[in-house]
Amino acid sequence: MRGKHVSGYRLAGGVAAVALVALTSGVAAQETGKTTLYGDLRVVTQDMLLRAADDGNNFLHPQHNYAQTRFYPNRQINTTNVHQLRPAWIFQTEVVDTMEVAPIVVDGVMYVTTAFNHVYALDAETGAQIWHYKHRMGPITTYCCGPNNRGVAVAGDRVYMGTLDAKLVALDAKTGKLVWEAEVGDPELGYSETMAPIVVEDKVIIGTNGGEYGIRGFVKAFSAADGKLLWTFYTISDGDRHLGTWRETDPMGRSLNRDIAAEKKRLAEMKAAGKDDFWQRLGGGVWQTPAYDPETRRLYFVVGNPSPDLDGSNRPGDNLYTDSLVSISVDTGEYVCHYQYIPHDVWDLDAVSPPILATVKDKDGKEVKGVLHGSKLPYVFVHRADDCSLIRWSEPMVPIENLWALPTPAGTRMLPGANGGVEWSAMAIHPGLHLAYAANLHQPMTYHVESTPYPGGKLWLGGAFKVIPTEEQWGNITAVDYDTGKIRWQVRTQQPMIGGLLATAGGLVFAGEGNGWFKAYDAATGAVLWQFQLGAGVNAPASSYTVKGKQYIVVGAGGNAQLDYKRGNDIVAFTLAD
Amino acid sequence: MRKWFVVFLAVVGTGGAATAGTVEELAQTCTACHGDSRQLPTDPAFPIIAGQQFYYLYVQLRDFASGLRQNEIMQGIVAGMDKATMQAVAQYWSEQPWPTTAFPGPTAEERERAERVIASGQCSACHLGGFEGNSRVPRLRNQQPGYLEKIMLDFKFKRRMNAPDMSALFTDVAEADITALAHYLAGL
Repeated sequence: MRGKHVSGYRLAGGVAAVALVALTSGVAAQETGKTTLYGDLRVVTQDMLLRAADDGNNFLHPQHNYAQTRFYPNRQINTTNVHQLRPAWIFQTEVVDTMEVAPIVVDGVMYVTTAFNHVYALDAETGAQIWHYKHRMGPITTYCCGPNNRGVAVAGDRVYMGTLDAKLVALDAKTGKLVWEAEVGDPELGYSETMAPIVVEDKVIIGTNGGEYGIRGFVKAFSAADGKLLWTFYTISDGDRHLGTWRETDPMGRSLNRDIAAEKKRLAEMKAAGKDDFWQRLGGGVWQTPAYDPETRRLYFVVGNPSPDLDGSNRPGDNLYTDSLVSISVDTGEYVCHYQYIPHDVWDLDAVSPPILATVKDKDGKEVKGVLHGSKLPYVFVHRADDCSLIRWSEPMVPIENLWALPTPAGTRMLPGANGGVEWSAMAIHPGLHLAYAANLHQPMTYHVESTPYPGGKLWLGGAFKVIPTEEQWGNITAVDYDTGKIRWQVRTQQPMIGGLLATAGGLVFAGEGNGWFKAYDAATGAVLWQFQLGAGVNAPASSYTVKGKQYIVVGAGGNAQLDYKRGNDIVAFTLAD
Repeated sequence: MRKWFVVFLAVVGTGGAATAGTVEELAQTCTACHGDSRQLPTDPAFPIIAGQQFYYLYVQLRDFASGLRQNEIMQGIVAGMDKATMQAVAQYWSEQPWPTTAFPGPTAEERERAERVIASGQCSACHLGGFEGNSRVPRLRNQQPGYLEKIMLDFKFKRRMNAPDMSALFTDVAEADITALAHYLAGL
């Protein structure tokens, strides 16, 4: 397998198949053989980025590889020895606040970010600091929901990060010095960056937050060399294309309770008054890193809610491409296909968790290139990658009640609550087991609508979501067979889950919780095989890497602003006890 | 970036716009009611502005000027104030230390009420842990309880309309809960 130049998602499947054989035959020999046999290690070549799925030394992408499987191919740490996992080192950042970072590792050097856009380069073997970059934040920031950052992209000898004040910065990977800075959006109008960018060849690609502030969402490509803007794809179409087909149902055919006649009447009134430019403030943020398919040179990402979130009275139509899976050309940013989950969403049950490319079975049982998305709704959706069409959806992962009841001024109770289901948390898959692992919230809420005009960059929800304080909240990790949609196993957690998962060829799934527990589960059964108390919310996705023959698991414990989990500032790496 | 305003004022601030000197003079006008880093505001219903977030302060001045936020005294004060002056004044106050406060905390029952409202409204998602705020989101921690209560009631009864989502959030929050929340935040 080494040296073969194939696309990321194929590699992931191949590695998983090997891992599955090892697991099912009870083999537990230590293995760290999946190595980086290309490049000069510290300089991240495009070849390394393409082959990341098979790279057991490094963790080069926020979701490990372009297909975003979060499946790490080494199995030195596995189901038989994970009980021996112990902290190798702890690094404390300067910032005690919400932490959502996916650590990136390049040849023994780790790059982590914190709230308010600090970046640290650390020795991945010892945790010793190499350099520390503190972004010079502008005085104006507008962001929801916490001063988060989900990590960097690495390519060449540079490290790239989006910032809360809507900049994209390129740093020298060896020194942490600023190489260039580009403006992605205007923070005064509600644009901000929390996602990790993705680099493909000469382009750094990044979306935007701001769906709670009346932005017009986009994905932009910048020159990796100098930060020059190369193309922009707007997630809100101009012309009348954002109106869509006036679809009245969700993907399962259930009525969304839209009043299409009223929407069309409102549109006619707006057109007659020359005030039908609402699409310029229609939201459609992109919260998470796109997946990339090098064979077709296409990006896949999901688009967030329309603005204002809860009030649809002045945004008639389907509000395309909000709440959608979208594919575009990486070369030009041109639209290729989309699938919209909720036309004219008035619940903020939008699409945020990063999509995953994987080989899946279509409706006839034939293997095709697929796209998985863990949704707030709360299902795992399985699409064809070629045309974005929906193949199937999973069984619901948390309770659904009173679905699509419209928000009212007094508040309407509906499940799931507006955080999901699956929030921004990245799923992981185990290609050998054909399972997708999703972190879910059960957080009963009431949905309130209150129509207000565009407030010029201020928070614009068009009402309020309120957690019902008297009702129990909890979370779960759900393993879904993406070829059938059936839930294979499910483990309930004390608190709603946010942060993301990591699966490994060692037959493990790693996930943290708001109460400070960081746990390893048996990927096949969900049995808890190991746990460690980190003292603050573990609400960031774990990464794994190997240095000098030792596999490590690393995770951030900084809590979470959105769910108010205990804050901290620790990056903790684990390895097997000697 | 923070230095930018000082430079701007020194170099460009002529012909009616504020100068570095007049910013401090203007600040004295504010002190008369709002106090400063050493003294609390003269009225329990007036907010502490020393140490408040820069962009929040600027937006409030802007909204008073446009009439989006209604207050007879403040509208009189900002009348004729240009953008650069508003930003300079906001910058000045944002750089002052927050005064020492010793507001009594909530009762046990009030604490329970307040924490319920905070959980329901997901307040820390914007005001952040510790309620220190950031940029356009104001600090609430150790703010005057009388002011906090007044403003939340203004949101509830639609008297303050320049933050529409705060109005929506407080619509069905009970007045006793608002009092409890004000005491909780003031006493943090």
